[in-house]
Amino acid sequence: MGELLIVRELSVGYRSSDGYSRVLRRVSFSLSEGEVLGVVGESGSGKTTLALAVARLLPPYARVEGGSIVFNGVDLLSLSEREVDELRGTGIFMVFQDPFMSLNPLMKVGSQLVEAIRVRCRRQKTAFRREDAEREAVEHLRRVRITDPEDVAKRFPHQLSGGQNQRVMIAMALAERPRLIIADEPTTALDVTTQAQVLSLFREIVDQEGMAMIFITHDLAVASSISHRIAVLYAGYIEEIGPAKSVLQDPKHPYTVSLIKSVPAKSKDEGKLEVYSERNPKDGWSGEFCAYAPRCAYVHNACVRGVPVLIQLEDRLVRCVNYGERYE
Amino acid sequence: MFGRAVRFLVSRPASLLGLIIVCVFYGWSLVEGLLQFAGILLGDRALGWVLLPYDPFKTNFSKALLPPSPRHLMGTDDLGRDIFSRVLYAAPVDAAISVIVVLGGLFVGNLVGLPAGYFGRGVDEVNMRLTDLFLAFPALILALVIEATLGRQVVYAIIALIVVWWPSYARLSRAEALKVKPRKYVDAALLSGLSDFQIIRKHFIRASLNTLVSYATIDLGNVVLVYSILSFLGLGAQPPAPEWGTMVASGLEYFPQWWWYSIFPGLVITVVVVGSALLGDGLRDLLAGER
Amino acid sequence: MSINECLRVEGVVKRFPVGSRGLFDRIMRRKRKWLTAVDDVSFSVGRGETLALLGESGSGKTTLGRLIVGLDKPDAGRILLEGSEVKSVRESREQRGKLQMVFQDPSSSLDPYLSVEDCVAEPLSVEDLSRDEIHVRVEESLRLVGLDPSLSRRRSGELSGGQKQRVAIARAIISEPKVIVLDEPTTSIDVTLQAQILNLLVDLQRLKGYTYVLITHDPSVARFLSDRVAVMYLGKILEIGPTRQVLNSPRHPYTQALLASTPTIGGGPPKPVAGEPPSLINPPQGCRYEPRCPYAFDVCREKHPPLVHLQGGDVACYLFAEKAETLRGGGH
Repeated sequence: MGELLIVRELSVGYRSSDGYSRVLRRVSFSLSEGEVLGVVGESGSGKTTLALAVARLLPPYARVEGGSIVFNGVDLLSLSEREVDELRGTGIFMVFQDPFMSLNPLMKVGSQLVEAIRVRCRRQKTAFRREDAEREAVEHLRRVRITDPEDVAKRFPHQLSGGQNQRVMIAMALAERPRLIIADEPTTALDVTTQAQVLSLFREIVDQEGMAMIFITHDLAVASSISHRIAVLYAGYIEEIGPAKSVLQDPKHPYTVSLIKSVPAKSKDEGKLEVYSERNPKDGWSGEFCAYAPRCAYVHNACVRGVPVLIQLEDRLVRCVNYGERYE
Repeated sequence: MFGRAVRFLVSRPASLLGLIIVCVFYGWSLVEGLLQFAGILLGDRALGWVLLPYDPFKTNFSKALLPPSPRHLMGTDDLGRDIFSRVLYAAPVDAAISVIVVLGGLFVGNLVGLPAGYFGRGVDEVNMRLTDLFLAFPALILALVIEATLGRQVVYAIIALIVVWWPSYARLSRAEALKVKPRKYVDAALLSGLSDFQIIRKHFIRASLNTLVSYATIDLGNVVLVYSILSFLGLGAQPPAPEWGTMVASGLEYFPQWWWYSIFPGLVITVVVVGSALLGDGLRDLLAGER
Repeated sequence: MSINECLRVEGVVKRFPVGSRGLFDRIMRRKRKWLTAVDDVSFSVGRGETLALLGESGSGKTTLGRLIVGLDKPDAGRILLEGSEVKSVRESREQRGKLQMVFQDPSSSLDPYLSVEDCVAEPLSVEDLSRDEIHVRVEESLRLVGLDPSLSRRRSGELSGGQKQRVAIARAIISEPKVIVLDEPTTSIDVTLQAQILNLLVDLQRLKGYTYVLITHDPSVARFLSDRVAVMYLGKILEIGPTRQVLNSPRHPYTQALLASTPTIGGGPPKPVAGEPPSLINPPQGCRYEPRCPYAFDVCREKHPPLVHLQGGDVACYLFAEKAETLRGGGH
């Protein structure tokens, strides 16, 4: 069971009317089957760009500056559009925050599942029979704990709730049997109780089907509940990456520390919450030194001498001069 | 902010062209219009053609229907009058009418559309059905009917055009109002004790005009065109006062041999329409980028 | 009404019509469908106290918040602010400024075309103040929320999310309100800025004695900011009591499920609640939570349980009906 996905030194930028901005900076990580990597970052951290890049869904004004995305031994960035189309359905399945982005509003839910099964059969070069596929579709709906799956299969997405639609997406993942699922904030728009259902479903299919998953969120608690490993993203850099438990219980990078401490864990009578500076990552940052320095509580001179590299520390990698002064 | 807008428009060739055309047209009309107005006030109409190569009213049959030349840039008409001077003399009327009609249309349109979007329900139904009523008539026919009823004067033409123009603004401003209404600062204004009227004035008009200004700019040219058509049909300014549309009409009987009589005024109308369209487009891009 | 009571909600009901009704529907006399957003809710909040309305979407908490400040009118019941009835915003002059609200989305809270000063000064526009007086009050308000007063000249659309939220708070406090409804005040802000806003809200309350009604779906925010918590579901209050009690030792099965479903840092996958989120148009006939409740028995299907008063809090659940009777000393 080797590495399913190896991302190396991936850098992506966007062209806009204001010029050019770099959104991902030399991001590297790997992912094995049956593993969930939680990518945590605030808005502007580049997390959605990372998802789109791996899924080869970047918009036309994005530019991949460098790096490689090796999936199943193939560098996705070296493929043409047509080759990527053939690859899709095989490998990578994307779940968006808004299920309406992925589900066809004009097709019944059951039919969409049947289509996903057809795609899988074509890829696996197995025979496709409509009646079998329709039965299988209902089974998948049942598997994701949708009540009255036969009835739901005949409905359109807009007739279902957000939570049900997200579960339909998971059923689609089951039908297509991808090897990698990329989920970009899939539960952010859902209620806590619905979120809990969707999260436990995700974990279930990862465990049972041996799929790999990149779970992108701004909510550290959500990432914590489902990830085996966690990568913390800030201004396009991976600042810390390691096993979920240890990153959360013993955070090394100051930004990770601030994320964890930002969740109120006490009552107002027990004192104030700790506070970190409010400035935007782009304020006071020239790109020549540590991106988090302008906001960091532990900043000192060494922090502005250059951009720190990721250093191996115990069971993880950290990008902070407080653990060793090495620069790019 | 204004400077940034100008820089933006200048940076694009299309909107730069539009800006130049519009500035030249309205700039000239302002100067020439003031001169004509001063001339009337002071009793000396000749002030109106101080800046023109020739007296636009002076007839000279020996010079009738001369082709374009360095002395007569657009040639002369059937009465020997210099067409270029007449075109220049006629400009302020169209400029003024376009501005009055567009402003009038904006005023009435917002008056109808903003409350429709803001209050909804009954007000919305009434206002919008009223708007639909007016929109149901083809613009030109409606303008013709109104003017034919009221009389063949410039003032009535203006009224007719405003009546034709306000419904589109009503629809647009209603759409803007619907966008603004769910925003929380409207609720905050209610909590602050502002009346509905105050809220519309403070929060809705600005948003509406922001969107409508680009349409209004394009419409400046469209009004010139429609008014020219009205004049062409004989419902605008009456001869001997020069007017672009009228000149095109008069020149028709001399077409195609003495083509310059119709073509040049028509060309000028086209340039103004295209110019305002380009500028309006540029404004729309500018404002869309700001969101 | 006790001396210290600031806000009292009595039997409030709010319904909304569902779907549009054209002429044909009216002719056919098709019955209108109604959605009951708030279903007979009562509670009171003491002066300077913070009550959290904790619930998910569809619980009615946002609607209730709007009713409290007068943006909507209740269909039944009433709301009292220091003894006088709260009227709709358009109806009352004396009430202006006494009830304020801080909204969830900072970008939607401020008119992007206006300057910060114009935004913050809006509640003062109904008072007769000179431009200088207004300017002074605005500066003071901005300082109180931790912003540099020179910000007042900037256009509100240029500010960052955190700054906008502070400006929204500055606007809410400038009219010296008695009650401020905070509608998910930190949900739409980056998580690292949440702490600042929460600290600010606490400081302001200590300084000025505001009464807060906090609307939230996040138990940790409720835990930090509130003195009492009311758990809402499908328009009803299922449990209400001191924060520590409700969040640490929840009694109602829904509260327990809600807290268990909330992911925490270091925790594993949350335990999901069974069943679908409820329909607001066709709520269950009996206890609103019954379809998803692991403890449901027959009586739960007949009628929604009343709120009974127990030691340290009220619960609307038949599991506790007996306990209440025992405390009261015997049955009916």
